[in-house]
Amino acid sequence: MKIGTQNTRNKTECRGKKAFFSGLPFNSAYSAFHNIYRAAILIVLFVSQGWAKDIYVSQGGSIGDAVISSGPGDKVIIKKGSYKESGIIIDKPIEVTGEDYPEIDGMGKGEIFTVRSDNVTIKGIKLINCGYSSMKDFAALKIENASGCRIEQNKLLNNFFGIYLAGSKKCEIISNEIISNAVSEISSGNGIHLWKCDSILVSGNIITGHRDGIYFEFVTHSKVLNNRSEKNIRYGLHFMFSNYDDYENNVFKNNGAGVAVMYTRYVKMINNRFEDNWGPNAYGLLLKDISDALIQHNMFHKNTTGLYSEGGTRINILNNTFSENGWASKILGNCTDDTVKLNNFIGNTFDVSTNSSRNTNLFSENYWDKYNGYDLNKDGAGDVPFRPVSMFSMVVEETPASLFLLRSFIVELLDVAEKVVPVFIPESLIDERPRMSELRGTK
Amino acid sequence: MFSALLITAFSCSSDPEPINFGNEQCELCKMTISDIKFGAEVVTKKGKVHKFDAAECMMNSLSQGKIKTEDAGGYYVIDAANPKNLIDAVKAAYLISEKFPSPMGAGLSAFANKTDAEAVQKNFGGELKSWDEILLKFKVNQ
Repeated sequence: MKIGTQNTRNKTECRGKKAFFSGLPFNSAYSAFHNIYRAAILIVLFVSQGWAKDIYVSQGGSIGDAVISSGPGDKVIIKKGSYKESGIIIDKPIEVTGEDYPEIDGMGKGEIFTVRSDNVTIKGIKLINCGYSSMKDFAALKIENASGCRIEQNKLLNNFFGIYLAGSKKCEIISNEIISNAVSEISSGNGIHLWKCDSILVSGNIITGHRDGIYFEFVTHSKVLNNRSEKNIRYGLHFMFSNYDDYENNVFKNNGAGVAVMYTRYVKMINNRFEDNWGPNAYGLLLKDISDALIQHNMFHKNTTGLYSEGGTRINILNNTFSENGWASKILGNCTDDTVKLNNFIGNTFDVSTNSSRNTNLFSENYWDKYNGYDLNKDGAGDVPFRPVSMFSMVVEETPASLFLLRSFIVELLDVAEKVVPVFIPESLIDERPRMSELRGTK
Repeated sequence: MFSALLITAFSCSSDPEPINFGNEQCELCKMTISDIKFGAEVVTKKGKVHKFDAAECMMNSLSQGKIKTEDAGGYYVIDAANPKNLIDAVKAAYLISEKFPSPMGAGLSAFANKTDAEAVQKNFGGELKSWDEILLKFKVNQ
């Protein structure tokens, strides 16, 4: 291990200290000689007491030893190269950064970094091959019961869990690339896994090939912004019991089962894209027992089911676009007081499907490409209401196998008959003011 | 698959059916069943199989009356110490430990042998429970 101190940094520190000392009254009488003498003493102090020193590790050296020898506020700088290490425990506020992405190979043994201190920064490092266990959730980088930590611009490759935060708050996970080539859900962990955390920022990360891309359980007041989560084996984003969180500008694409949101209140999902989630149990967005949520300006494109809601209460679904989905939305009978307003429904096989003849949800001012009414008073809204639930979608809900009759003459006959004399379709599931043209301003 | 259905329908046994991890959905929470240490199953007297990703989902299903206890022919849970293996839930030993998280947040795990449960408890903490205590905790009407 090479340990050295960087001159420029210590110089800046000295200047800071000088200003502090020069403020003292007895200082003005000192001569130039004393000034130099004092500066020399200060440098010695910095090194000996370990104030903000830089510790360099280069290939062949031990990162673990460097971390142990560091003191609070120090910077451990890892030079380019490859290192085989695991079980590095960081229990003091230091910064660990890499130059040109040094690679740390965990060799399948436990965790690479375990952080147990506030204000730790880990930046610019490539972490590969952390351990796998069926009993313990090993992660390449775990933060336990800490606050103010920053995980930035790292590359994580082929790990069980990627970044794992437990019992932590006010941490930032920014611009990391987390890639695994897991083949089954069973042997893979989650890319970014948060458990019992508060006020966390997850921003600008790319996650692919994990079990769930981003997983939240008991996480509050957190923001998930500008991430891209794709080709994960189960869910692109999955959260449970996580209230007051915001999800904005993310892309969830081609994940095994899409995105799942469960048992959560006061969540905002804005400007996200839910795309290409195909399969019998795949949903663009699956909502299960959610209340008081806002789902706005999202794009649901090419999913088996765009939006599935079971037990959703007081959910506002506004200004979204649903295009080319099998089912744009499935809103089950136990959803109450939801508002579906100002959305575009374009090129979906079914626009709205439900399993009940009762409905307490409001559908209003949406654009339905299947609407063929007219607008005589030219106010932009059709003069005859639109019923988005087709008779056939109710039949399919009861007997999925009947789907093979889709686009057959008998099905069209069925739909027309139900339109003339509605019996099965919920009476109140109706858009009284369907828009005549596509709404702009949706993503 | 059809013949398999027929066999199940006619056999009327309450034997467990293995869980196809990664492909089957939990009946209650709709999640894909994927954590091989957890999972549960109720087989009714008529042979219908209800699968869950966690024992707490089975318990909640029972307490919410989605499955009636009088219809149940057998209860099964995954042995956390022997992943993917379904065992008799009534005879299993249970651990509730926050540090050993289960898929639906209850921290509930099941074990065929009490010694395994105690070993995990030693590592992760928590409380050991019996089937009857678990039923009580989840307010399942017997």
